[in-house]
Amino acid sequence: MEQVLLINGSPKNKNSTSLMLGQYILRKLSKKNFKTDTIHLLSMLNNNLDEIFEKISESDLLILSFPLYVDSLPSHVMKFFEVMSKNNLKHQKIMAIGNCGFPESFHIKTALKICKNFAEKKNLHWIGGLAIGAGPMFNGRSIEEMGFLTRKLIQGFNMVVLSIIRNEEIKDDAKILVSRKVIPTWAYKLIGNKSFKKVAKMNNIKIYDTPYQ
Amino acid sequence: MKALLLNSSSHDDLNMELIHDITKKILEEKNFQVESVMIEDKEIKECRGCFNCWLKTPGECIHDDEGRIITKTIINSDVVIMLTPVIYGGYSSKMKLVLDRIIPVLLPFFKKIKGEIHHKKRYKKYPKVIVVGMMNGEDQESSEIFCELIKRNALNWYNSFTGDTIVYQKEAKIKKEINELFKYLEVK
Repeated sequence: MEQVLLINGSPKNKNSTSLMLGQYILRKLSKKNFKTDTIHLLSMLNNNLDEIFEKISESDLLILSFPLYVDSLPSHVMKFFEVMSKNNLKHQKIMAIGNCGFPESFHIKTALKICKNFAEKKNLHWIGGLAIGAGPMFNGRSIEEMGFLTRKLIQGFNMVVLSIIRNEEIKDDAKILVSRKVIPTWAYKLIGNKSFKKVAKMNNIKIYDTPYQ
Repeated sequence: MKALLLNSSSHDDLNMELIHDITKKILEEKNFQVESVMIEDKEIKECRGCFNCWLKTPGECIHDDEGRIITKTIINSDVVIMLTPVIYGGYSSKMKLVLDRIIPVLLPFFKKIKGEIHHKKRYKKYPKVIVVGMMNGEDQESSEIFCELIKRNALNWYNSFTGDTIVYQKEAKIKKEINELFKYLEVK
């Protein structure tokens, strides 16, 4: 039985889009008799390094799911790469899922290249990277709960699941489907900016404050 | 003119120490008042993605630690130099720790720049940032990804980022390459 490990690269455990996206794949795989497990990278890196190594060495497929921070991977995911660079890995399969707060998914491309470069240098078997925009729209909700907005995304994820089951690399069609805009850029910008103002009013804050200059 | 020199390598990295010393000297020759920070010595917590710095305490991170102080120093510097080992084409985790914590100097609001969505400015003035990515040997793949990353940073940070990778080599050559990067300061 194949073992799949989801590495949650979000610092959040609840309401984490990274976790939710990864768990969608895990749920589908566990129905097909895959053994699945999840680790929350930030808390484990600080407290339980040995357990990370153990879980990774037991796994056949690693799924690294992360939020985009300042155009690349969050600091603790880079730390994970640094720590792993000193360790021997068996030739596991690895894939990555990046999500970002901008409506366009292309912002994530560079971060996925870093993941692929890590995989190749560590002699892992890179099966592909997925880039998903408008991450905060999910707010931890599962992609199945969002109706027609996420129909292409779900279609793409199901293709990814199928590729994993067939022991194949992720197809380009699947990558394109998941990277499509969930809502148009203008709508995302409008809704986002309005909601920031609304929250600022609710919290009674000066959102344009300049405390440092 | 104030310059902040951030070193994200470790104390036992003598190659980076040499690059640091060369850079510091160049800055001093250009009459900068240089503050040098060894990130390893600072207590900085990871960004936890809570958005408090945008929606609860605008412009300030929830973590009351040296990350706040560095962010404040960055936005009040004229030039920031980031010295980082290149890790698979990305910043080192310690450099990234600082970078993840500077988002409070931008506003949450979205704006279209060159056809892409980015965040609006919070402050009028941003420092010029020069990134020096150190590599201990030739690695074209990592170097290309790193340069692409600096370009992405520049788009998100109002063209304030520039930089390149340098392969560790003889002192004179390093000096020449860093001087080349400093030409950026003379352009605008």
